[in-house]
Amino acid sequence: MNKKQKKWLLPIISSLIPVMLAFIVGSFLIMLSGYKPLEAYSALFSGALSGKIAIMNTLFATTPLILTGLATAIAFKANIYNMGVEGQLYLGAFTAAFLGFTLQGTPPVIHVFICLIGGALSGMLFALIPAILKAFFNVNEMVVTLMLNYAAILFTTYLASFPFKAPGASNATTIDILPSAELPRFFQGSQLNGGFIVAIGVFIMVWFLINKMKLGYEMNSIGRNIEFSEYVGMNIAKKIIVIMSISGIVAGLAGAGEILGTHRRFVSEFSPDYGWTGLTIALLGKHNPVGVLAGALLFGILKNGGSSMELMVGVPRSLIDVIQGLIILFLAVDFLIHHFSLVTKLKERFNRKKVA
Amino acid sequence: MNNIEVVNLTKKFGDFVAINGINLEVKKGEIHAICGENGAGKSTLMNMLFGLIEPSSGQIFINGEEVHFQSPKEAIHQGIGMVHQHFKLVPSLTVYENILLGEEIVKGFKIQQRKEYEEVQKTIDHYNFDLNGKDKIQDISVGAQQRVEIIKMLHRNVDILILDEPSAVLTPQETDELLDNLIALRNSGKTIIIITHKLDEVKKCADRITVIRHGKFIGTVNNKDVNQQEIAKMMVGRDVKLDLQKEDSERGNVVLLAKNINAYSDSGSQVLYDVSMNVHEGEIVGIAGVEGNGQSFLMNALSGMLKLESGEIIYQDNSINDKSPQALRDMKIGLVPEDRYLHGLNSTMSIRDNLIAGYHWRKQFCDFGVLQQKEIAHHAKDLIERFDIRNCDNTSLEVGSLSGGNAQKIVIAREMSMNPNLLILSQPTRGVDIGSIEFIHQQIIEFRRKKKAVIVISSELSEVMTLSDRIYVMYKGRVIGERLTKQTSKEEIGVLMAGITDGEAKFGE
Ligand SMILES: Nc1ncnc2c1ncn2[C@@H]1O[C@H](COP(=O)(O)OP(=O)(O)OP(=O)(O)O)[C@@H](O)[C@H]1O
Ligand SMILES: [Mg+2]
Repeated sequence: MNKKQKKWLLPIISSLIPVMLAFIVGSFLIMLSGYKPLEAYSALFSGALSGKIAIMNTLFATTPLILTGLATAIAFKANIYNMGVEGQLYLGAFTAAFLGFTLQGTPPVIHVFICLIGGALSGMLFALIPAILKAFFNVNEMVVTLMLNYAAILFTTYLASFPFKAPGASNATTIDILPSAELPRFFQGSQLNGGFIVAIGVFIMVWFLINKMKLGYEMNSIGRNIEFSEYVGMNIAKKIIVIMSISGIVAGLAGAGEILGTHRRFVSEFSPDYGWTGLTIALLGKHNPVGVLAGALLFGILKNGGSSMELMVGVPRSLIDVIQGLIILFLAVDFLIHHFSLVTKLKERFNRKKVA
Repeated sequence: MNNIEVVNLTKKFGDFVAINGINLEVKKGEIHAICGENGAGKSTLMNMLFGLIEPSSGQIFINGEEVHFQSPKEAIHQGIGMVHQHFKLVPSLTVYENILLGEEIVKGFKIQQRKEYEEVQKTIDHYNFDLNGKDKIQDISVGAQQRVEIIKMLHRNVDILILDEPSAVLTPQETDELLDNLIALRNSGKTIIIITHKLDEVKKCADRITVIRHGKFIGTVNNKDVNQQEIAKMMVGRDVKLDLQKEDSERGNVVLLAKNINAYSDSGSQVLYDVSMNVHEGEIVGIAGVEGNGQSFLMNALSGMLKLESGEIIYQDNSINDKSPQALRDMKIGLVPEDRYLHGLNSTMSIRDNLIAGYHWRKQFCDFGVLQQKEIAHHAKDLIERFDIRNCDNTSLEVGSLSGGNAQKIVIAREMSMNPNLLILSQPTRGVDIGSIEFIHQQIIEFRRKKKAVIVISSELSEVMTLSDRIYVMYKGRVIGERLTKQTSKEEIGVLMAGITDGEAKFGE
């Protein structure tokens, strides 16, 4: 095997291992509950992938995950921990909904764009808080982004509960957005909508950014060795701000897309942890856009196939949560091994030795 | 009798043959030096003897018995110890605790501290090493830390000691002490294998010398039968000029002028005191000094990484006090930092990406924010050829897989290729083999010929003497002397480096 192949293969294998392990452990759990694992898994995959409608629904489930996965991965690439994708997503979602139901008389396509841009910008502005704190005051972004999630969720819930609550609604939701702001569905029978196109468009841009652009080069360099990057003249503070902004934009778009394409109004606490699933996907995809796409697809399959597994074999849908949890667990183990022991230490020794 | 015998040993990394059928015999009770260019395979060979790397094929015999080490532990058990260049000591622990790390003397659940200390001190005293078992690692010098590593091995009763470039991190005085210690160890019956690029050290201590080149065995010779020139020739395969010829410089205008700069380190202690210096067009200025006398801080101050407390640095008539590293690069100042793997290179990034770092935003490589991959690949190929960087045909490989000397050439190639007006190099040839040193030195002199200014910071006195037209000597954060190279001697500079001055005479300006 030549070296080039190896470079590709290793990360793929190391991403597949936690997934395989999760499925293996999952199959024991299925057996323990008195079902046949093979049957359950084949129901899961055929439910998600056999037939046009099934595939479209899987892509529908994949859509927000592509964006939250990319948002996390962009920051990760530069060794910045944006744990606030969930919060940025909520702000993006609310802004999109607000623009969606207020801007009467805007032409359809333009209205959608305005809402998307508004969502993206609010995600960005929200991400700027931890970015500025990190860049200029050296405040750990992990803590700040984590805390701000609660602020964002509570704030948008407040907005949807009081000032913008739809008259007569029993729960905290706003009124519907105008038809001109809706991302259209493609076919009847599936909720797949224009949000998917947005996600794929963002994927292509992020791929290009990371692999072909100067900023991608700098993200890579900063992520691998920040001292070096500073020494060769990269303005780290500025880069942190730019990278976090882009991450926030993508997270905001994830929220906006869900509102304009799926819910068509803002529903408080609508996200089933899209941000956190995105984090898992980014780790699984090794901060690589293509990896993120594959990871998002896997989680989309799990989500969409879960119900047919329940329906056809009787294995409760919550098993899917267990499998996702197991993937996170095995990823964490893998992460620990990579970051704190063997591999890095060996590499370090190898490199240091050569300071020779 | 042969303590170690290596027969037809081969090591491949993928398709690349790092060690190619090597035969090596090391006699009991000798100091055996291993010489070879960067990337010749010296470290790889020794790592196989120490059980760190498994050979692809071939045999290793220790005292006549074939061995297959799976780990260093097994090697130590068979009496082979190795000291790496990067120490693996715990700074907050004492010397004796470090030496017994992993082999604590325990009674019940309690570590027998007193007994531990006494046993270790006994070993230290037995070998007559200048160490105190109760000192903390963080409080002792680099040379002393190395002695701890050596005692750590001796305490485990090894009779073969392998040292990989032990002097690379030492001051000249510490190196002399080390060589004395090694000779004493040999006289007490130990076998020692030492890897070093410094041929004067080889001449001073070795009994026999083995030279390898491109992973192949070239020959083993008796030290007393060869001179440095001949060893160098065996290593490189051609004649090497050990002393460099350079014509007199024609000095032009002042390029860089530092006026009374004072600076403090992060921990708040003053590290530069009233340092003034200058460098002219067409001139190489050397900064000599025993390591740790402020040279690194001076380098940082000149490269925009250390804020000045007072004073001024003027480059081509502009103050550059508060300029960022990027601004300095824009102003055509090239920087070759001291710590190659921290500041000079991004080890896990590819060779070709490393070759544009810091200049990646230039029009040539980057158009409207998009990197010009073709141009970047072409640039890499070009530099690899021009700077004779070995073993990197595939420029998408990580820089970290290159040997030390080749990695350094990457940094130098990058900085020189951008055609700066001022080049500041810190320890430009540390750990670099003799052929490459010659090459790098020639490049630096060629640079001067083009009427450029060069500052060379080096703790290697001979390097400063051969390269520089003018020398500043630093001692405890101050410039304590300035000499024209032609009007001074190694001895005089050596005296200044020790901090001894009497009546200063100034030159230059
Ligand atoms: N783990 C590895 N994977 C791939 N190549 C390697 C590896 N280790 C070493 N090499 C290659 O093997 C060759 C020999 O390396 P080695 O470190 O033994 O050289 P060396 O003689 O010690 O050089 P130096 O004097 O620079 O320390 C180099 O070309 C290096 O790039
Ligand atoms: Mg080596």
